Amino acid sequence: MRGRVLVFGSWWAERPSAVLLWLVLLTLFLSPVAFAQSPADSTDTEALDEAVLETLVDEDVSGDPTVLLETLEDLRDNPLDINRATAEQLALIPSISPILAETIARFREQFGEFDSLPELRAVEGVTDDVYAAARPYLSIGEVLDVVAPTPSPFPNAPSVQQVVRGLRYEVRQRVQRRLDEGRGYSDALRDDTTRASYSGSPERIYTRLRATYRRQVSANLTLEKDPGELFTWAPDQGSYGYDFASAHVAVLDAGRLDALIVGDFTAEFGQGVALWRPSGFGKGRELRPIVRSGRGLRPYSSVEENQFFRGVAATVAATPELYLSAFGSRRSLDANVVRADTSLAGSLAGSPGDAFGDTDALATSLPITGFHRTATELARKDALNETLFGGATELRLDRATVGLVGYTARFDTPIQRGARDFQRFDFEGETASMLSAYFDVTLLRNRDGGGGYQAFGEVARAPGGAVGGVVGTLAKLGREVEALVVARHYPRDFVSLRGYAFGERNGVTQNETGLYLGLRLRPARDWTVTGFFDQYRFPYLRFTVPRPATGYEALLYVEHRPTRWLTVYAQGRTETREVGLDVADPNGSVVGGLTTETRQTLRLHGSYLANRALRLRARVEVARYQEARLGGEPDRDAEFGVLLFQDVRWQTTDWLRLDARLTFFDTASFDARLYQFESDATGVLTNVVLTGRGTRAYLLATVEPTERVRLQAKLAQTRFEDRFTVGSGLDEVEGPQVRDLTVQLQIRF
Amino acid sequence: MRTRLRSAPTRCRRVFVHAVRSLDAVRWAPVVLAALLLGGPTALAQLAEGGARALALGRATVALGDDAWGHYNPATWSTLDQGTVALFASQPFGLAELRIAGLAAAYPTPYGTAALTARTYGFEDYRETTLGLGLARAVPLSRARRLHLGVHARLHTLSISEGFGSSNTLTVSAGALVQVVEGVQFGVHARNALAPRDADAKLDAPISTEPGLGLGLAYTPIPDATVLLAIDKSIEDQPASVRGGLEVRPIDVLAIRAGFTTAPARLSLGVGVNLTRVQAALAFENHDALGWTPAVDLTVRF
Repeated sequence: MRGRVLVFGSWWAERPSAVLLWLVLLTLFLSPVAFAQSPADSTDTEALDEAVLETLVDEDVSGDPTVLLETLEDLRDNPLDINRATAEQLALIPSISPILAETIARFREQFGEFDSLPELRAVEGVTDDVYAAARPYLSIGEVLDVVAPTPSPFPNAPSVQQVVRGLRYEVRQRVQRRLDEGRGYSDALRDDTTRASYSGSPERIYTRLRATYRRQVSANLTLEKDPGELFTWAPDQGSYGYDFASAHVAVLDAGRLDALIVGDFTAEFGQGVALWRPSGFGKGRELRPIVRSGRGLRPYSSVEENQFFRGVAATVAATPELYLSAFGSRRSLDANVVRADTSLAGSLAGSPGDAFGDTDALATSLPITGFHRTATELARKDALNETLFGGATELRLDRATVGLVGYTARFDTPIQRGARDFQRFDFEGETASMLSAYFDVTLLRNRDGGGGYQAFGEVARAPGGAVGGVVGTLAKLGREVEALVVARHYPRDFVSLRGYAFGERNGVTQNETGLYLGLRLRPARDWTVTGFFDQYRFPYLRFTVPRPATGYEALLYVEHRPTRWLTVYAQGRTETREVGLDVADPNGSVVGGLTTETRQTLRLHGSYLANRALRLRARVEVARYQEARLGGEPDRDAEFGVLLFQDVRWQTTDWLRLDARLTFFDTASFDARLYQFESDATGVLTNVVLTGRGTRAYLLATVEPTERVRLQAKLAQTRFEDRFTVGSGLDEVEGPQVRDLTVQLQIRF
Repeated sequence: MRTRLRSAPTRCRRVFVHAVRSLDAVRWAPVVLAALLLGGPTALAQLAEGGARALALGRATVALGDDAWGHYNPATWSTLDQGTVALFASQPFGLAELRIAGLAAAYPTPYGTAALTARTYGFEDYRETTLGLGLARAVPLSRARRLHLGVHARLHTLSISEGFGSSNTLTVSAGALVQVVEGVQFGVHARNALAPRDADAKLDAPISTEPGLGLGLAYTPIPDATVLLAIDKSIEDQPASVRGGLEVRPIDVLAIRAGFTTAPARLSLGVGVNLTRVQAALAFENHDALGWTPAVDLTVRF
């Protein structure tokens, strides 16, 4: 017999497909009792997982979507009391629109408090689906038989004693590591001082310590070291062991004090044109997330390193309707800084004297990756200081919110934009001030089926004087029809340094005009149809696009849910847009031209809750990419990509849950790439882009020995059949596979 | 004594060399030519396997139960409620050198259904023999619903005469089958989930050991008709294969079948005769370039 057969036991671990096999084997030989439970009640077993996020964010989302994940997790950890939560709070839940939130609030006014959570379904508009999706974020407190005689218009402020007694603590420790190390970690490269290499170890280490009292008081410390960063004590470099640290102490919803935050915070107002957190929901198959609903000043506890504020922030309710906010932040940002007395200075536009004027240094770019792994990246760290002051006034009436928000930021080193054409309208200077006005009005519909209309918008004046904004309306007509129209206009010189408003380019609220139309229908009880059409135009050049360009994107999503344990859907998506192309003129010099590319995906997906313990999901997805040719040449052949996966979630016992997936993918090129969201440790969002040909598999084990402890471990492997190295640059890995390990421990007490 | 196979540039060429040696070059030429045109070993790799019923149904049977072969999904064994023995013979494209013969036996026990499979393919100078052991079992999900799971371990032996020796390859496949709603079954098959993947070992392995993933549905809208739809992606550099099949049972004893596959494109037709203890099936599959493949099988229940 061949040696290979004898060493069978050692190579199984290298086979990605083996994960499913071992699950099947385990199931075959373990007692079947684990499965023999009553049919699933999906309403209380569905945890927050990647399937939820998939509906909310664009697949090629930029920014740091884990911030979104943390928002939802916070909400789940501190569920809203359906009898106490205001309409505004209820609208934070992804499946509850402001209109529905108002409807719930009005129902409560008319018929009194809810006796139980399922009773919420009596409200017009709360379908089984909405209820199931909202259930994790809701709780029910004590039902008071007698309404308090004169309820205060403000939330109760807890006493210090109450807070100290009621504090809950959470410790979260996570280590992630790529088992196949990239080139940047090789000793040979590290010894060679003339070439770039990673200074630190390949682990990503994350620690979070948090103390909370309900939703009202929180104190948090988040620490993180990215792969390749040094774990070292160097206070002068802003590194205290971990490369990144974030902390805050916050009091929320206490009497007249709506928010008081010392430390790190975010400011999100209106539609996010002027101020928003580091990431926002994009064009997905749900319409609702597109409508931003600013939460004002919120404590920050995530790991995105460059786009939050650090300082003091407060919101006070002057009257029950009028909220006044003020915030001040001083922090350092990563930047490439060029000094006047160096040779690099000559490379800036014009002669050195022109560019520098009377300053001795200029910041030429502000990278936001947050990586400080190589000497170059370390040199950029905290190279620029920003001092920012801002304020907001918000009037929260019964069915309307109107607000005014503004800030002024000052950089200690002037920012110099690049000299290339497409950079002409980038930010430049030492100070940036922005002023913005926003509104959000809800009108309930007093006809059969309920529903209502919501109009919202924001207009802002950017540094330099450009005016831009977004306006839209959401109509909910009974249970069956929901329509959304959003128009956006951000001129080419509209520089919103801190905005993240709705748009085609996630997080870049500049140089874009567009119109979005969305429709959601429920033609029958078990059918849902969603579609959108979004047309946009970029009036000025962009990186790699040498001319103004246009494009459109459309989606059609059809979901069928014949029983509550089976959901199948088909989703088609198409995007056609103009991209840059190097065309030579008759003399041979390159003229920037445009060509049209089309990317389409079609997905078939099924999710089956076999019972309370087992969920099976399967997917087939095809991508098609085609680039048009100019000058009458025939179009290039279309490129295709295909993805198949089988996914299993198995709650084996009360304390052990297994998530496994096996994916086969085959794409002709990066243009025909496919994405998949994956289950991961709590607080980790994994959206993997698959390109090339191969398999990917993962196994995530979640162990919860008690309610207070959760231990998670995930092993993932991507194995390629069409290459011998994976990745590029310093992350290039020898061999056809990459394996990643994540281990996380969470303790609550 | 067994020796390691010498490396050859491609398996296809290896087959070709031996075919020429067996003095049948004239008959082999069109096959090899077509195979090369279709992208190397692809055309030969997808042998007519898994019974004449599956072949007639376009090999779209990953979600279909009641099958002794377990070739397209080992979980299917656990749907059998009687001991079953099946025999199969096929002559791909009418060529004696590619002749395949197979045997499958499955027996339900209190611990699950045990299965044994055997298959031989080729001719005197080039022979692939596969011996398999399987286990399948139904796991209760609720009172009425069950999840069928199965594994299939196979030892593939490739032997080439005249001093080239032989090699063994062990592969393991796993599958699951479940009725998701009344009349609709879903099946998944991680084919050869464990199989040699390094280039050296692959060269020595027989041609049907590459890993793949199959997903499929079987829909029975009325008791006398079943519609099948499946997709199969192999790790090899070929497009995903979409497959469909239709089985109509106008009278209890007769089944009429048709099916198709893409990548490569094939159409198939077949009939089946179902008696209480004996079932016979006949299938014809037409490859767009290589022509017709006849297959026949006989199943006995006891």
